Amino acid sequence: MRRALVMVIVCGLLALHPSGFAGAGPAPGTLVLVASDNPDNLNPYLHSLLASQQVYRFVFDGLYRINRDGDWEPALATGERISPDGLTWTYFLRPGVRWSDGQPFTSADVRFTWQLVTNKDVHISYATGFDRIAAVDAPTPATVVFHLKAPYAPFREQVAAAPVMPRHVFEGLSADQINHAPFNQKPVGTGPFAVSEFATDDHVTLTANPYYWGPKPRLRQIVVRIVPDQNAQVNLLQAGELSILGGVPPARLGEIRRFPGVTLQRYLAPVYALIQLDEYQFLRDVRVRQALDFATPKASIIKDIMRGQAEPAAGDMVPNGPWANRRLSPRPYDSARARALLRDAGFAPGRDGVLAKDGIRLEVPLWTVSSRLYFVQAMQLIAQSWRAAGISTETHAVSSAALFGQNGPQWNGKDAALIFSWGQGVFPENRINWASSYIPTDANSPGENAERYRSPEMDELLDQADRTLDAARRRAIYDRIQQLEYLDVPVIFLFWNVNNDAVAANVLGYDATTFGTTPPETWSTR
Amino acid sequence: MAAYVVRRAVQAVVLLALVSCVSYAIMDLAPGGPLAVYLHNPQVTPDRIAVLRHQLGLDRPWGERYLAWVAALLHGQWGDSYYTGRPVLSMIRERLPATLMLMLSAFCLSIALAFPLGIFAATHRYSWGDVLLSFGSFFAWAMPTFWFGLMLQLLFAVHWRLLPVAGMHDIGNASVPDLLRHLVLPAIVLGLGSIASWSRYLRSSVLEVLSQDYVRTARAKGLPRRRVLDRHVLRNSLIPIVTLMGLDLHVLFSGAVITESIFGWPGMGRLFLEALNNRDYPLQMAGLVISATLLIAGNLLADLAYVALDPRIRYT
Repeated sequence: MRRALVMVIVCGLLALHPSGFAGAGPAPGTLVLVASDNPDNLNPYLHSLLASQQVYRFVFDGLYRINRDGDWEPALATGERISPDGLTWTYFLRPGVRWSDGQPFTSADVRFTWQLVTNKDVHISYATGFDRIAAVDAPTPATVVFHLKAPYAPFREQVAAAPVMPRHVFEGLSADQINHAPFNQKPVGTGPFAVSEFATDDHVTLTANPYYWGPKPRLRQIVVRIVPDQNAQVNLLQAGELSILGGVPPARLGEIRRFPGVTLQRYLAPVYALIQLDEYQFLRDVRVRQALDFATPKASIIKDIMRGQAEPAAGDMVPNGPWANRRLSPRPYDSARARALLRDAGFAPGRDGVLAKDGIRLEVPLWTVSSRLYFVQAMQLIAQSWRAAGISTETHAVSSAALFGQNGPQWNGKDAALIFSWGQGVFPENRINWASSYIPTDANSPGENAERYRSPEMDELLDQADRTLDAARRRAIYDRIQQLEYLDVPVIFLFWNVNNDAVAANVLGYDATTFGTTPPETWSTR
Repeated sequence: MAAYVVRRAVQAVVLLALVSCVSYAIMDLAPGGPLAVYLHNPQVTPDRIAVLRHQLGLDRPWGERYLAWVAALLHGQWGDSYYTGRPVLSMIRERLPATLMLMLSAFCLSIALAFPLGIFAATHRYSWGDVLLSFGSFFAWAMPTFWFGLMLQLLFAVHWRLLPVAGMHDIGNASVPDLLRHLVLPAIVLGLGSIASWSRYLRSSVLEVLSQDYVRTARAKGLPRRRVLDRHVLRNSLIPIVTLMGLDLHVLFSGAVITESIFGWPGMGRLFLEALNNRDYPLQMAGLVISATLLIAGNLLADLAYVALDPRIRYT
């Protein structure tokens, strides 16, 4: 009976197979990507998940964009004019641009985007920069003028590069209707591709936008498949069902390198790993924080745990970008110097070998998210090294909701060190990390300066950086900001992440760097 | 009998109210919260989060929010997801076909295999076949689903290229044969555990019945072996299996998280896992309530099925 059953199963499989044994693979003109989550909302101002960004990046344009070399280039605008006082930014729009539904794009759309983002009743998750705008004028359909409340240097990256929304789609809708609009699943944009199908939790299909203002897209369609399991994603790649797998996990690199017809593209990601030092007791003393930095074996973490897929970090500006202070280099691992600094700070070894001051032991527990294996491994290595320097260190790996939540280590009023990563991006603005006004007051009003770092000089520099439009002076300010980060050690910089994108051999024109990819309209498949 | 069903139904309503209240409270106590996903997004500022919290009504105490939720539910309003802004019921309705398809195929596969295997093992006790089946079911039961699923993918999809790796359809192919090809591996992975456990339960309960006096009598009066098994043994061995099936009814709805994640199957399990991770309260509560209802209903159905299986059982 069982033999019969096996026969039935095999025959069934063969009968179901469309073409005998050949692997299907995507048809020419179709590019297949994969996302780990279901995109929650394709309106760029309402989304919360990275997966949404992976889809809407093909759909929308800003007035300006940065290319993969990190240089600004005009997109929906053709030029800009900034008034000498930095208060008025005028953009001249590209003529003849149409939305993917055929309607014309005008300055009214740009003005509407500002109104949408600053509408208090819409569930906006992203409004940085837009709150600095006093008024937006649209004197002609092809000209738009932003009037700012005060000079704001990051205007271009925060507002001019932000996606422009179609006014005609939202006209007459209430805030509540916007929150629940069909647009959130099937957006209308000016970008090279438009969403033609959204099968929840299965795939999103984007088709070339016939009205696109730039060069005609060479691909017919882009399919973003939604497969949560990372191993299953690698299996898809190996079976030839994927065109590009972005961000290959370091542990699978060696194996993927041997897949026939797959090449790897390595580039530095603008994301750094850090240890956040929550300043409550001893961690308020800068010498203790510097000592912890000396006691952290950053080079071994890069070599042994990240297997070389990381670069040293001395500050929060991506090292191959224009803003990095190249005079800084990470503190070397030096247990003796760590001990010397702690001795100067008044610590002496107790009976159990742990350093103590005024009868209180130096206890700094380490915490990290359990879902990232390399963080858990790095935590063990750091704990060993800290213990060797005389610091008492317990380790905890927990879920990210528990780590950052209201009952987490940030709220118990004790020193703690949290290991996680931060997507700084390629732009320098970092006020939310270091300004004392961003120190959270309670768990229900979270701020990003959760390390509770407080420095009057830093606060002043961050304000200056916002007001300074002159490129050279702005760079000098950020150089000093990075120097302060290095001297004051509000966080210990561990490393910059390296990304590896696996690309199938039949994909042409795809190239990724720290700043972005080649424009999607230039990608093609053989 | 009717009085019994009514009494059980009333109990069920009370139980459901309790379950929903306790779940709502636990949900509120859990660390994080619906806005935690924004906390470490560098683009989202604290004042933005405060505004979002007020818009979603999260600044009110949980008891107040729970009562509002119950009142809306009594009017047939299941609410909108915090994340997609879409009505919870339509999100569930979208996944229902995929979930039912996968769960029912796994269920049918389990019945089709567990019964013959369990009976065979019992009637051929201590034979090579029985030992092999015992080993096989313990192995299948002990094996982690994600490992087995990935192994099947490697063999059938990557190595032999017989079946697709994941998903419900090939791109641009919505035909039924294509759907069935995609269904094979997840259904096997999902059914395996039930095949293993149900066949073990059936084996031991068949063995117990086989030693009963009435079975010896049936054999003694010269009934053919097949008839003894079908009419006298199997029917009496079904009670434990029916209990198991009743307890599994809600799983048909709530899906299977790991299998769905590995095979990229757009089912209910992933929907509710995402809802849990994001603390998407309306969606989470809908999943809990429907699942709890089905669990209670499944138990009731199993109890009623006993009457059909065993005439000695009566409810008053």
